[in-house]
Amino acid sequence: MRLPKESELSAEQKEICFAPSVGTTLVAGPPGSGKTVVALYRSRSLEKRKETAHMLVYNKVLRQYTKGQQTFLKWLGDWWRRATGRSFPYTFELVQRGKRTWRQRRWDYKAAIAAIRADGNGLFRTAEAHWGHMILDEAQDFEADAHRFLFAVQQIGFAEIHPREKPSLMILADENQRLTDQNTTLEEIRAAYIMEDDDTYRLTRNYRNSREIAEFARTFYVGLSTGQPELPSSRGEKPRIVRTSKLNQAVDKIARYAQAHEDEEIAVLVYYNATRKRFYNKLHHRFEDSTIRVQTYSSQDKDTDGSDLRFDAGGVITVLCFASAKGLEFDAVFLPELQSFPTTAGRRDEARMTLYVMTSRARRTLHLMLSDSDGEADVWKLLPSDSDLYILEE
Amino acid sequence: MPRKESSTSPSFPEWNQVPKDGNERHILASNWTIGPLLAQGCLLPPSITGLTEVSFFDERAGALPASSGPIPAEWTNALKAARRNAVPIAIRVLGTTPSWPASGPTFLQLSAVDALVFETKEDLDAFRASGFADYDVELINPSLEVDAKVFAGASGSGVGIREARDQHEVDVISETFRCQEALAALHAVLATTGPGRPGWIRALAPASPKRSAPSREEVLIEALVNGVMGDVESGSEEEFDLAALTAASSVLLRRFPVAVGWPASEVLKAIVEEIERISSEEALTEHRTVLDKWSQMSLAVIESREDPPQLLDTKSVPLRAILFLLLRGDIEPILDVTPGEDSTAVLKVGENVRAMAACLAAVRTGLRNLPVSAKVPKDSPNPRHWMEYLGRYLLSGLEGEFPNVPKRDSLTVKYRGMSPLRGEWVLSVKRTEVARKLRRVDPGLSRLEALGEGLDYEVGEHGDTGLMITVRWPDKRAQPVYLAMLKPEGSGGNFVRFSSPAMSLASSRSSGKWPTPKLNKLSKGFLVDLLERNARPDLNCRFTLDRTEQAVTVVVDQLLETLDDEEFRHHVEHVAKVADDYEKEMGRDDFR
Repeated sequence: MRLPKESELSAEQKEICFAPSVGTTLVAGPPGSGKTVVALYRSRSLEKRKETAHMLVYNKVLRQYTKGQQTFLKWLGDWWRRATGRSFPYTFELVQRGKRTWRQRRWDYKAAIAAIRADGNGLFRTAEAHWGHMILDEAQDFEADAHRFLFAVQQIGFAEIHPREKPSLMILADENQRLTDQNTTLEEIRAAYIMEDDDTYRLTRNYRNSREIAEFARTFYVGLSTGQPELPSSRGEKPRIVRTSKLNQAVDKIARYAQAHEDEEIAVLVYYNATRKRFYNKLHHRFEDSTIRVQTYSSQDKDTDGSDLRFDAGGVITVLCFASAKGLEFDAVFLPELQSFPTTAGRRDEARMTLYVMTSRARRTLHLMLSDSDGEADVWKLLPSDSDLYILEE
Repeated sequence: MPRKESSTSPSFPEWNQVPKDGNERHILASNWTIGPLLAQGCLLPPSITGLTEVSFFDERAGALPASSGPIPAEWTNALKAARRNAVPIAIRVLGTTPSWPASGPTFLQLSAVDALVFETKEDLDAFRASGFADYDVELINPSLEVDAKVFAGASGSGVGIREARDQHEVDVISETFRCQEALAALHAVLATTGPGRPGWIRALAPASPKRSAPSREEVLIEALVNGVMGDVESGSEEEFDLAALTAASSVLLRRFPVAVGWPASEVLKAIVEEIERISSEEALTEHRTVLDKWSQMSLAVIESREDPPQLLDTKSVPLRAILFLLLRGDIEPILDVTPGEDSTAVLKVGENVRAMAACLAAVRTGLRNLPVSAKVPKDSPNPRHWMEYLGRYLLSGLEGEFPNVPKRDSLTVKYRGMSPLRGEWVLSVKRTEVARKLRRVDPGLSRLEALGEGLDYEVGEHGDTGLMITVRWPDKRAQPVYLAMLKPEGSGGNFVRFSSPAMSLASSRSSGKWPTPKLNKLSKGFLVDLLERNARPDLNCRFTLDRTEQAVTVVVDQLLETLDDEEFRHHVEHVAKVADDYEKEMGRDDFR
């Protein structure tokens, strides 16, 4: 990701960029409001000052995207071992997916908090326990106990240190993008760290999307408390709804776009894993001998952990399932095979919210594609009724 | 109070004077408002350049908040209260400035900055660590100090915050400022990313009075500047390419600056309409098919309905540059492209197309928003001097709007040759070298030079983009042979043209015009004779009328890829002999 231009930062972004790196700061904002931009700025400023900074994220794809050093869970295990000489306390939980059931290890934050309370700062035996500055992106994805645990480390583990010297935290969160109901709301985060109003910054404007894309995306929005970002002023091309007769037409269109826009990060986002594989194979074959790179990732694919994914570079087409695309953004987003997107009546709001999150991944270009010659796909009913918001391409 | 000599002392000594009243002069800025000084080399009131949203004083004021002596404490407090995390910065100004009226200074040049003063060390450290794409504190390297007393002055010592400008006046100056910012950005991009070729260098440097005709690049850049200045009247432009550049730069500056965003198909439509508006009726009729075809193709590519065409330098550079800009939008992705047909990129872009697209993007971006890499020449020995120069360049365009605006310094460019085809241009401001630009040479031409040297010919340069070999005979006669690269459209490979002048068609009055008066006087019989000579079976070359050389020349073309030593020698000797024999026949020996 390029460094931001000072001249293009908004007042609310500048407030955060210029915030002192002490204590705990919460940056709350809806998708596209520039949380990651300010996080990267903060991280680079700290590096320039030769101070220790960790930028941690929740999932592996995001780690690659933000060039975060580690996922939070991985960092936590390593850090605790170095700091205390012990393993982080854990329990097992039963996980069921389809017919398979297995036991999965899970960090036990409550036990860790109890250990800190019991031993106080005596628990931490090395200087490495002081993490310096931590920037926690997509912090709504962590459970509330993880936040309580970090607070306990700051306040009890480093009780004897001057407040300005304690390990600092910048927390970036958006409760609109919680993965599950077990994740954290902004109020829970604020409560976990006993935050004052002064510790919270709010980003309200959309800086990611063009105005045309934001206007289109918001038609899918099903409200939550932090609401939507204000519409951006920056203009762009209108989103296009492209009706194709077969999958290869969609592939051709994406390929043509990629050839003309080799500077851009392009995403092909699909609902089903099988569709992901088909698009990946076809596009990969198309660009086999070219400088354009086609990459993919799936959490179901055990052969890859996403570490070879390349973001923040032009000439890359990333094919992902919807679930892996959360938190990411791309210059151009193609949503092909939308005719098969499930919009079951009882889950209509969920379907709309999914479309909101997926369409708002696009910065400059958005193409929704349907191989639906008879026009009977259910997804049409979710698309905006105002035809001025898009261009229909047959 | 005598000033200590600073390692970053400015290049403009007239500022280096002691204030008459002995008070150090300060301008109050902040981490919110210092950006323009570092990003464009000068500071103007927000009323001109855009409001900063740090309203500790009326941002509509026509002057900068300044004080003689310490800054009033109430200003410092008001600034800190105006925004979270606003940090006051006092800009200590060098000497007595001519532009320091009672109502406050209306502008500040980077060259007048003595030091940036902070209230605390934490503030200074945070500022030093700030890093943005549009300015780099380390690169500018201002003198940074901490002195809390500077921010705790008595009330009443400040000026410059009270008198708001009239809105109409602000609008007029802001419009002039935007044009000048576009020109300064264009100037910066020509220096940083313009190809190191003579034509482009001339577009950057002031025209030399010795030269008779401007380079093609100069003509194109002038068309672009006309668009910025809004200088072209409806229906006046004759040449289609120039109309396209003028139209594009005007539309980009006035309708689609960076803040507006990039609806590419709308930009295309606006450019086409502007081309139609400014083109003369005859030109538009003549070029209607080309314009329609180009605009339809461009739209189809933007909408991914057609594959993108290759954008090499082989055909109209302006139209290809505009299409390239339409596809990229911003300057950074344009500069990221490695130009040339050998590039591994899917979309191949010529060096001139890339440079012209960057120039257009610069107009849209403006000096302040340009990324540092496009603003400060690579390997610049003194980036601060270069930014000072750009700041003065920008301010000089506001001469009519402000009193005491500094004169524009001229940028001098000198070529430092090392051997044929190898050298660099040295860019200087007031005898201080600010940048160097390595000469870029066509790889084909380099190969020809190596072949000639290998065959022991005397190889020199001819014009901006050619070579010359002098063939000498035992009878003391000699004949020049020119070598130039031809780049035909398509993938047929590059050709070399060997040519030798046989009869001059130039006259003192013709000065680059074609046809020359001398050519107009030639009889039909003379021209038929040349054609008959071309038909001779023993002639492995042909006579032509050469517009560039303004002469009858003898030429032969050969595919570069297959050219070997023997063929090289044969072509050189053959065209030289045929041209010299013709001269002998005419009883002349004009070319030696």
